[in-house]
Amino acid sequence: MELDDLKKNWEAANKDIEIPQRNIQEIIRASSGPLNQLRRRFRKGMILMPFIAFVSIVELSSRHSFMMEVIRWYIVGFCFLMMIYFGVNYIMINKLERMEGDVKGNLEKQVRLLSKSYSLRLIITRAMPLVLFILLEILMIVHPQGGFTKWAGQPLMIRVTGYAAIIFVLYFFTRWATYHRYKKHIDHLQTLVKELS
Amino acid sequence: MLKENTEKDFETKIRENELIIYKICRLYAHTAADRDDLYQEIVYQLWRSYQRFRGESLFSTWLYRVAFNTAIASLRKQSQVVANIDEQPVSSIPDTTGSEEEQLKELYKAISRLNEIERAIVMLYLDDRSYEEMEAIMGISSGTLRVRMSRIKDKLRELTKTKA
Repeated sequence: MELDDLKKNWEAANKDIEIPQRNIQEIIRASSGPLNQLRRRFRKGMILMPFIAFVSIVELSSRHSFMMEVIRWYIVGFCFLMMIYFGVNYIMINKLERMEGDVKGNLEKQVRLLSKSYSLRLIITRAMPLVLFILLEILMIVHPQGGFTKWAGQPLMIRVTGYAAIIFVLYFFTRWATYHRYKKHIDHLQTLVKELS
Repeated sequence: MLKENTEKDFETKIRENELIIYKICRLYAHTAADRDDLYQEIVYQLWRSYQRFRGESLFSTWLYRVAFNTAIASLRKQSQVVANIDEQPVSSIPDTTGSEEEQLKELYKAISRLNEIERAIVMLYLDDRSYEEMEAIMGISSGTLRVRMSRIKDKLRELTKTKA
């Protein structure tokens, strides 16, 4: 049997299909689609991040230990980066939700936006340890007796090599982890776009 | 009041074209739960887009676009389940002998092995849409679509032959 044979019977085949009855009004009011859920999550993130940063500054400023200083400033840096991430993704979701364009144009848009989000995620994930190491070095200079005295006592070359080794491992780990979660999907969409060219 | 009218108008149009949405769900989602989720997602996206619909294209063209775009975008979330051929509408084909039914099953199985774009083209072809409308939905020229259609037929022939 070929596709043309199926086409001849197609209308008859679909005539008797029993379509499950759904409440359309309920669906359009529920607004619980995955894109909407993501949008809500990103909006919450944008509001929550500055709040967490503020609370951690207030909460930890009364404790004057070296570690608390490191944690406090790291949280502030982390919240700042995450706020950017949530903000960019929030804008992206609004653009992604416009589905009325043709399939090719929509796929190209998806690839472009998802690639942008993927790159941003990679940059932020990789920037996190870098921010932590820079912060640690600065605080070791500002508070020489604060803590990490053993690590601070090591020659700069050793410390830089240690940081570089961690960043090197993280580079490959993040690449592997994000590939399976995001890049694979983007690559697949890219293949589909090529098919339409 | 205006919103209520729009909602009612939308519901009427969706009811009239429900079969298209249902066929797309069956084409892209393999389990009943996935189909139900996809149906809801398509209807919700249609509603979001409906407020921007100005009638510049046929309603059906617009509906196919939104539905295909939503279905392709939602694939990532679905579990990779092998299509359950028994759930395809084989039994609803009139006057088929046992052997024809088997062949039909093979054909459905082969269609489920096509990629998302090819499946969309096949559905538009089966729904007897003109190449001009297919062009407006897919965003590729009718010439390219004819070539792709011919390749898809060859591919399906090959897939069903391999199985036989």
